[in-house]
Formats: sequence, structure tokens, C-alpha cells
Amino acid sequence: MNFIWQTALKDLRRRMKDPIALLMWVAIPGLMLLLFSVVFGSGGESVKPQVHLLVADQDNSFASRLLLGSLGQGPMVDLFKTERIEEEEGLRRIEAGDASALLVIPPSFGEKLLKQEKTKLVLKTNPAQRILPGIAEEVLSVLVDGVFYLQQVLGTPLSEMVDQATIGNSGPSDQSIASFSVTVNQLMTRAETFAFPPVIKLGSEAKRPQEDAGAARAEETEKPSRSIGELFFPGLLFMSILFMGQGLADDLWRERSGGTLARAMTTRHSVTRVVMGKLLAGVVIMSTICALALVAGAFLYDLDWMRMLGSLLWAVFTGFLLLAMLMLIQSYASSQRTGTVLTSLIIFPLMMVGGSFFPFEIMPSFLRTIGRWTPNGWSLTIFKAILAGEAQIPMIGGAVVGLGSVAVCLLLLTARRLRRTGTGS
Amino acid sequence: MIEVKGLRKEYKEIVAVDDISFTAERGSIFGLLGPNGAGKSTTIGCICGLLEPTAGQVRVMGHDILRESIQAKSQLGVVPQELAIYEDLSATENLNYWGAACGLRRKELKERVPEVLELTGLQDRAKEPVKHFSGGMKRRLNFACGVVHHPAVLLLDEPTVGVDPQSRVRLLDLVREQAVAGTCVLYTTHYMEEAEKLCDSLAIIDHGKIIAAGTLPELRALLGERDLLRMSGVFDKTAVPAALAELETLEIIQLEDNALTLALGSAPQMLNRVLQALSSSGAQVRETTMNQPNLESLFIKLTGKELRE
Ligand SMILES: Nc1ncnc2c1ncn2[C@@H]1O[C@H](COP(=O)(O)OP(=O)(O)OP(=O)(O)O)[C@@H](O)[C@H]1O
Ligand SMILES: [Mg+2]
Repeated sequence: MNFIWQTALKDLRRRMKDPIALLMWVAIPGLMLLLFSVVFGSGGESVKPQVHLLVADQDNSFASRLLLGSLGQGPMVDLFKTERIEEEEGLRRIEAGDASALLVIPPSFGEKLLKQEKTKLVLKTNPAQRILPGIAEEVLSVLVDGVFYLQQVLGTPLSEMVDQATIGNSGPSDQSIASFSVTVNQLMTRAETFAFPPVIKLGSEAKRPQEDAGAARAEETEKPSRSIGELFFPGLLFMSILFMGQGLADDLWRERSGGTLARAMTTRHSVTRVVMGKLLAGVVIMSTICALALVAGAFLYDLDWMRMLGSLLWAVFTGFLLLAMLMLIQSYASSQRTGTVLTSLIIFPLMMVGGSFFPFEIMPSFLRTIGRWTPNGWSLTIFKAILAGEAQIPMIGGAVVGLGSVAVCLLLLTARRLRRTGTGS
Repeated sequence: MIEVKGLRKEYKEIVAVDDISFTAERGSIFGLLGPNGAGKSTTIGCICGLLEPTAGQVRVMGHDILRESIQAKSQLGVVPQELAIYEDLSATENLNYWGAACGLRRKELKERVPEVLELTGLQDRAKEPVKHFSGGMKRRLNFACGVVHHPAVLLLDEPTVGVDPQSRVRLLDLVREQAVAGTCVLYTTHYMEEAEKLCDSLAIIDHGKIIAAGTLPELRALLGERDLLRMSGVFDKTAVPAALAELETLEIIQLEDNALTLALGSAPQMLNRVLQALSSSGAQVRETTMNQPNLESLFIKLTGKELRE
């Protein structure tokens, strides 16, 4: 037990050295909450916190346009204001404090990405701002992973085109472009329908909630006093938990590539204890952040203090399960990057469908049905029930026992996997 | 004490370690000397239980590393070749964590950590995050983390690579002190000077096999009580052996187009005859040096190549 606690303490110390990263996990959901409250709230069109991003696209390739294009889609639209610019001009404006950050996409970015060579985006941030450039950095890193992943999916057609373009000087043939665009179109259509479907819904329904049919209307009318913030708050808290889970699980790779995991394995303690220590640290961090968020929620939205402890415990239990699952996934990933892509691929769809971006109350009913059966959506429903004082204690108790055993299995599987591969790079 | 018997480790097609056996005693330093890729780190990995051997057995202080791993690992201190420290923590925090992981209690840590910091010359920077350290300082901390708990068996994988000469001397002194205090030290390196100076006994390893083993005098004796003559210039690979064949007690250790190394009974007396024979073979000698036999010449003799390539 002592070693587990020492490992957790060590992780907590390491986290405390980088408070900005801790803040990021809360900042994005927090800002979104602010944004939603402002947009849908009292009707004031006033202040929107926005990342003003200058972009010097020296590449102007498919990949760079894809990257920039995704900043103009879905929930990013409100968060980002992008402006194309030459690098020198951009640097001057950042110096002058005229924008949040400058993104420089180097000339060979797309080509290198396709060939899976190392490439680098340069992000110059405005030193006078702290949070907004941080958001730009976070979102871009996720998007770059996304583009990287897309390249993996489209791998063959894309690299065929690159080969033709570089070997034959004539450039890709009409035929290959045609076949390629068909592939992309199919993929995009598929991706679009599941990635950003609720956006349209959100726009139309939020303005006319009384016209909504079915269960949603029932809920809306049952609790007419609900504020927009209160509507979004639980989902965004869960978004924060998902972010935390991803960030915390990511640390397993740092321990792996930094050799510290191997070193721990030369001591007499088992890897299982190392993983338990990391889980414990995660639970402490999640408890602290969730507690702070709930206290803030209690003040802002008049949540019931008595039910807060129960909902806190449930939220942290959810986070614990999530972390155990993501750690297992990380332990199977072949590199840190693959790990991040894999966990992003899991948590982002879960966030969108599971009631974090868009509360169930304003989702179309078929999506709501799916959403409530996602793990986080299911847990969110219980969380809301606890807050509302409608929780069924025996059911929750059973779930805790059942899922607790699942977590133990996940933990043992992670340890087994690390024992076999923790040392090999 | 470390006992390694018939150790073999394969990675798919590569045989990294091929039937290695040796015993390292308490209170002495056992050296594992070999070039890059010889299998030193793999051997260490098998001894500390990080790698599962394909065949063979490892015992640490009498405990089998796989079957009695807790007892065996409790005796170990490991300094891996690659850095294994937390860059975001300070040196003190690192030592506290690794010390605690190896069983030191809070009170023991309070005494021992400042001591180790001082020994490795890190006491002035103890509170800074390690990521601000220079490469050599990180290596010193990496070393410190392996010895903080006074292990009975210490495995050191090339701990002095990248450390400046003064710190290196300090580090080697520290290793010596550990051995004097009764620790069994296994030390891998590809610097033969280091191995010669430090180790009580040695195994020379190449391509996963031990090609020679023993104490330093024993290994020297393999070359005979002969001096070593190294020459650079232009040499003919067929004419030179023919011309030198008549000279007694002479052995060609290495012959390249531009280098020649000879072992011979008493070089000063024979130098004239050697040079005459060489010039008759059409060789041009530009530079000549004479040494006592050392591990490098032994390595060249045994493998036909230089240790550092
Ligand atoms: N994980 C691995 N997978 C495949 N081959 C490996 C692996 N680790 C080591 N090897 C191979 O095993 C051989 C021995 O490697 P090892 O690291 O033990 O050498 P070394 O003597 O420590 O070399 P160095 O002085 O460079 O540290 C090398 O040929 C290496 O390529
Ligand atoms: Mg090595």
C-alpha cells in the first residue's frame, strides 16, 4: 500500500508542476459553458470568448486545408476566428498582441504527412494571453492527430497519388483523382453524419423548444425553471472528466518511453501496484476538480448541497472506470501518438453522442436513445438523477459492485500487458 | 552474488545473448566489456528480470530471478543505460521516490538522499526540476537513483557515457566504494581503460558470446608476456606475413592496408630486424608506437576487429 501511495504522490507532484495543463481539462468545458450561457442565455449578443488564430499556410495542400477546414466546422465555429495571413505580417501582429496565436504550416507539411515523415507545425502564441493560446494549442494537436488518422484510413489512395505526382512529373492522372475524390466523398459523408449531426438540431430547437415533440418536450415542460447553464452543466462536467481521463491515461506512455516504468519493474513491486498508484492519483485529481466544479455549480445553478456528495462520488467513480479503460487502451497502443489517436477516437464520439456537447434534452429522439446507452451517457443520466434526488440507490449500488469488478479486470489486463511489453520500446 | 548459467536471449531472428555463463562475487566488480550490440544490456535486462530469457538461469543472491523474483529483486539496484528519471521532478524528489520504491523509510531517506546528492555532486541543484539539468548531470542522477538504497547487488549499464572526466572519476570512485562496502557490482562498458582500471574480473563479450573471461592478469597472459608494436603506413597483405615469418616469438595481431599490429617478445631488441624485414617486403612505415598488451589488443586478437568502430 505504501508503494501505491508513494506512486500516486509522485504523480500528483508531477501534475502540480504543470497547473496550466490541469486547467486545460476544465477550461474548454468551462468556456463552452460560458459560451452557451451567453449565446442561449439572456439574449445578450455581447461577449464571446474567441480564439483569434492567424494562419500562414505555406503549404496549401489537401492536408493543410483539411486541418483548417475543420476549424470552421461544428462547435469550433464559435470558438475560432481564423484569418489567413503571410508569416511576417502574422509575426508582427502577434508581437503587437493583435491575436491569440499564429499558426505556420510549413511548405511540405502535407507531403511529409502523407509519406509519414516527421513534420512540424509552428504555433507562435501571444504571451500576453494565457488561456486562449492554450486552447488553440490543444485543439490543433487533436486536429493534427485527426488528419494523421485520416491519412491512415485513406492511406492507399493518397500515397498512390503522391507517388504519381513525384515519380511521373506529369502529376496524378485524372482517373486517380476521380477515384480518390470518390473515396474521400464516401468517407466524409459517413463521418459527417455521425460527427456533427446535432449542430443543426441545436440551432433550430434551442430557439423553439416548445415545438419539440415527444419526450424532450415532456422534460422541458416538467422543469420549466431550468436555466441553460444548468442544462449544459452536467454534460460539460462529464466532458471535463473525459478530457481528464485521456490526459491522465496518456501519462502511461511517458512512463514507458521515459524508462521509469521499466525501472519500477526492477524493484520488488509488481506493475499492478504501479498502475494502481497511477489510478489513485487520477482519482484524487478528478475528485478535486469535480468537487470544485460542483461547488461552483451549487452556487451558480442552485444545486442541492445534500445531493452533491452522492453525485460527486458517482462522477469520480465514472472517471475511475474511464481511466482504467483508457489506460488499458494506451497499454496496447504501439506508440504514444497511436495512443492519443485511439483515445481521441473513443472519447470524442462519446462526448458528442453521450450528452456532453449537446444535452439529451435537445437531441433528436433517436440520438438520445443511442446517447443514453453510451457508457458516459448512461452514467450522466444517473448523475443527473442523483442531483435531482431521483436516484434509485439499490440499482446504483449494484452498478458500483459490477463495474468495480470490471475495473479490477481492466487493471489486471493493463498490468499483464505492461509486464510483457513495458520494457520493449 | 550473481550467477548466470547458460543464458540465451533471442529476438525473433537475432540471438542477442548466446549461452553466457559467469559468476560475480560479493565485494568485487565484475566487468562486461564489449562493443555496441554485443548483448550487454540484454544480459543486464535478463538479470534484473525485465527480459525473460529464452534459455538459461539467473540467480541473484541465491534467488532465481523468475521464480523468486521478489526476494531477488529486493537485493537489486539498477542503473539502466537509458535515463530513467522523472524530468519534471527535482533530484531530491526523484531520489525520494526511487528510494521509497526500494524500501527505504522516511527517516532513512532523510539521511541518505542528501548524502547521495553530495556524492554525485548534485547538492547545489537538488531542488531544480531535472529537465533543466545538463546531460551529464542527468546521468549522475540516474546513477544516484540506482544506489540510493545500498543494494547488495548493483547492475550498472554504461553509467559513465556522456559524463565529463572529473565527474567520471568521482563516479568510478563511488562504484569502487560500493564494492569495498561489500556490494556485488556488475559493470558493463565499451571503454577498455575503464574496465582495466575498475574491474576485478572481466568477461569480454562479442555477438552475444563470451570470448574471454578472467582477472586482468589472466587475460593479459592470454596475449603472452609480449610487447605490442603498432605501425601505420602502407602494407602488403601477402608480402608482409611472408617477410615476417622468419622472426621468432612474433605474432601478427592485425594487418590492414594501412595498419599493422604485432606482438613480440622484446620489442626494443627486435625493432631493427622487424623494420628491415618490412622494408624488404616493400612496406612503408610512417609511425611506430610500442605498448604493453592491453584489453584492446586482446580484443583485436580474439575478434580481428577494433573494440570501437
Ligand atoms: N527489443 C529488441 N528487439 C530486437 N532486437 C533487439 C532488441 N533489443 C536488443 N536487440 C538486439 O540485440 C543485440 C544486443 O543488444 P544490446 O542492447 O544488448 O547490446 P549492448 O551490448 O548493450 O550494446 P550498446 O553498447 O550499444 O548498448 C543487438 O543486435 C540488438 O539489435
Ligand atoms: Mg547497451
